[in-house]
Amino acid sequence: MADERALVERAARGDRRAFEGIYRAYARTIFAHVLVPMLGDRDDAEDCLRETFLAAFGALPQYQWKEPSIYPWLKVLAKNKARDLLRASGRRQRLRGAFQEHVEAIVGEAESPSDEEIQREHLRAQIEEVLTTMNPRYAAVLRLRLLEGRPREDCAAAMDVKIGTLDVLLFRACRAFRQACEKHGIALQGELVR
Amino acid sequence: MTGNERERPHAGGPAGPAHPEWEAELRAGLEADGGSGSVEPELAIARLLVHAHRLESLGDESASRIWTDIDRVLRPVPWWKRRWFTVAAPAGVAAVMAAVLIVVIARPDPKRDPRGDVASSADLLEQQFDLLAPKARAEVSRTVDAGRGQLRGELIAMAMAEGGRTHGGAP
Repeated sequence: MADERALVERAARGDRRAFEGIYRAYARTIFAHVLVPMLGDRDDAEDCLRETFLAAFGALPQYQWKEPSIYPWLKVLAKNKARDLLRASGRRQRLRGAFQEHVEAIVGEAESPSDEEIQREHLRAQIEEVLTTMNPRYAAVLRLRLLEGRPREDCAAAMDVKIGTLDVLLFRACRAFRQACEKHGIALQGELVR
Repeated sequence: MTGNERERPHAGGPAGPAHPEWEAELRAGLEADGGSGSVEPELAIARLLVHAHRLESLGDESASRIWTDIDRVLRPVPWWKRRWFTVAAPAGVAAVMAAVLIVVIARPDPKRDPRGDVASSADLLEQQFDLLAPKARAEVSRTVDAGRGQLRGELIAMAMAEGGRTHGGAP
């Protein structure tokens, strides 16, 4: 973002237009790369995004600028808000199908929006590597249904099975993927947030 | 501009990682496989794989709606809408009205002479005293006479009880 530091300084003085600029620049990245993976739920992620930026506006006067951007600070705020939400609702992170811990186990943490994209490319490459070690039918159903996002009927036709059998294959394939990751040296059982 | 900012919600396209259909499909698979219980570990894997290829996008409409909510909270509240004002204003108005009422009621009539008021009060008291005084004096005389007679009687009775002698030694 051009002259982000000046924008942040204006926002820290209470300029709401400047703060909107920061929101527009980073809200989508934080939503997609931090909150949805942590919460596993779109509505919760939207609520948390709102809370994150409200907290950010309040805390901006104390923020010490660090190159290259404000993104890591916003990301920490978002993660704290997501943890607060999980604790307040008494939920465990994994109980909503949250997968942030898996992302971090495979590719680590990103420090900027462009890093997030690079990490995601790395994630795709790692997934491909793991898929090559799996039972071909399981790998095929994961590719067709989850990676390519093809409709269930198309997947069932491509796999030459009924829809019910496709569901069983998908379930077993997800379980097999976890085991394949472990064989690949990737432990997907990180500490859960309570 | 980041990569996900170029992406749009999956209107009619493949579902994003947070879509509820993944859980429904995995649960159907678990049950068809004769199992029961939680599908959370498998759901996390499914979402991870979807996330790697399709981000859960925050559309323009959702982003603007959330910003509107944030802006509403951040916008400075005009002084006449602030909480302290909504509480203090009615109390202040009531106090002012009460003060005005007291001033109006207690205000002396400019046509009346206050010295005349005092004089007329004194006259009234005097007239009332004149009416009551004769009766009161008569009552006092009657009470004193009765008391005096009773006391005399008691003294004579005491003297006779002590051998017919009076206190002064007279027979």
